[in-house]
Amino acid sequence: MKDKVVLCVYGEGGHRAEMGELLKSPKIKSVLKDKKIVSIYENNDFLDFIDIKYEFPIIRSKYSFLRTIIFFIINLFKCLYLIFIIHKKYDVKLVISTGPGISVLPSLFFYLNSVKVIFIENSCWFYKQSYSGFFLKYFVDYFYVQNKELKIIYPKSIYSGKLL
Amino acid sequence: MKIFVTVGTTKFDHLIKFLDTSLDKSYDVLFQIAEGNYKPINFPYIKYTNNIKGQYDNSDLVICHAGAGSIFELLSLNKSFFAVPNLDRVDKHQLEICQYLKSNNYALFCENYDMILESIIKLNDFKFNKFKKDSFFKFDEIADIIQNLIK
Repeated sequence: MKDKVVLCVYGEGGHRAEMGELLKSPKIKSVLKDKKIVSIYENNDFLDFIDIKYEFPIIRSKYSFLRTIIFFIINLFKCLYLIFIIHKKYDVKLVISTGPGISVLPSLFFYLNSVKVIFIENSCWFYKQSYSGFFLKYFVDYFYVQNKELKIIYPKSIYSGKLL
Repeated sequence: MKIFVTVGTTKFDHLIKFLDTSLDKSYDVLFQIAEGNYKPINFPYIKYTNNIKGQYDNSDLVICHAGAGSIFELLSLNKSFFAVPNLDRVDKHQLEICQYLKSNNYALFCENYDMILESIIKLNDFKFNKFKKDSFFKFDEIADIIQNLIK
């Protein structure tokens, strides 16, 4: 029988810091006590208090569109393979992401497999949609925004206040 | 004056190179450069730090990339800082938070590098609004969702 887990997708940098804040909250810590958390991160920037970690290959270059196309073609199947491994190994009950680009594939995959998905838009967005928010807004169960300004462009979102 | 320059986890070579070659040598400067290719030659540097708050506390001025993590921590600490959007990135999304800082008058948004040098001299002339953090209040709601799904 597979372990029931929560899958946390946080990428790196501010996304990782926000996930850290979320998981450190006493209430969430208490419900996750003795439960397994699986995480997906990138660029060697991980939360060390999560035991089970999967590093995603880079699928988007921050500095070049051409590299993004190349990385995407090369690494798309590696990402899908890792998602498949997680799906095969664990009974994922919930996906939580703090908005990185790498959250799109796992969120979409598990949502289409009837797993609940929580998406928290990164606090750096105020007036525009992020790529991940743009793609995922129709494929998540709970869509939180940390800035009130975003309620205008995501009318169905839930305002949450800021994690950082 | 003690100046701490931080770029978070994403390299920002143009800013580091400009400041390393332009800042007056009388300043006490420390760069945090992440995986940047340009290594400062005129001032000391570190790649990362486990004690970023200590570095902020120890500085008179912070010059930072406009990443959400850095910006909101500095605002919460009520620290003097200049935000510089990392336009080396293709997505230019750091302009969003700079627009937010500017429209609320929370900190100086340096649209070009020369503005940083001019602004250091005028640092004491700036008056900014105090930031009030609207902290995350959905922990209980998310905890309930988790609890209902993993029993």
